[in-house]
Amino acid sequence: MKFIKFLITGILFGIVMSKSEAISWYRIQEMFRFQSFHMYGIIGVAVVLA
Amino acid sequence: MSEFLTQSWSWWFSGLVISAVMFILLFFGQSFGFSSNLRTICAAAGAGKKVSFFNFSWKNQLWNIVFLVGAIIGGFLSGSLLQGSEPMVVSAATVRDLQELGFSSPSSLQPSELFSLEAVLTLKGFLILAIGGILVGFGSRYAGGCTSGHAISGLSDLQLPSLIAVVGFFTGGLVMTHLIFPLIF
Repeated sequence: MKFIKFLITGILFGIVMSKSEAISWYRIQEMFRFQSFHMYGIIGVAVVLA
Repeated sequence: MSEFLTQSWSWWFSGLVISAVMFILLFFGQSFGFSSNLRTICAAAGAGKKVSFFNFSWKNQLWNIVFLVGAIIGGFLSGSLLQGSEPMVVSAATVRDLQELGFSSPSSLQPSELFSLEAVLTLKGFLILAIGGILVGFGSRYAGGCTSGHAISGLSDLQLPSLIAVVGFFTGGLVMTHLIFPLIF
């Protein structure tokens, strides 16, 4: 079961993408209209920490 | 604690968890990138016999398919177990702009105007999703990665090609939102 760790990591990723609302069409619209900091904050924190 | 998990996560906490996912994958000796799965699936389905691009040892990429399946399960879990009662809060300016284009205020993560079964079964709705899917599939492979591989993994590795790709993604998004979208809706 060397794949189980990737399954669990994937579950974590799926949860964060939906709970952060980063998969939301509305959040993407906000981002491209420069009407919210939310998406820029998520990407910025992820990139800087990574 | 449970309230913390069921509400929408803040941008800083979400960014933190995404970088944790990257760290875990790197720790396991892999790197974070989602759309390479499209190539893997085509190769596994036998496309390598006809096109050399798909002729590679796709079995080494099985971990990423498992990761993808996990992400789908994770999305399902947050939509069921972790679903909060608070409605989604979108910036008032965005709601106003979208209303002018015929979109009602958000009641869930995705607009029913685009993704509901009724919308998909109209010619326009079907074409929007089908053409969008083709563009995403072609573009992410042509560029060698999507938002996860280029914008998150590539940028944090200070890769110049990824920066160019991200500038391209963003320009494309701006053109779509401000120039093409008002023509379609």
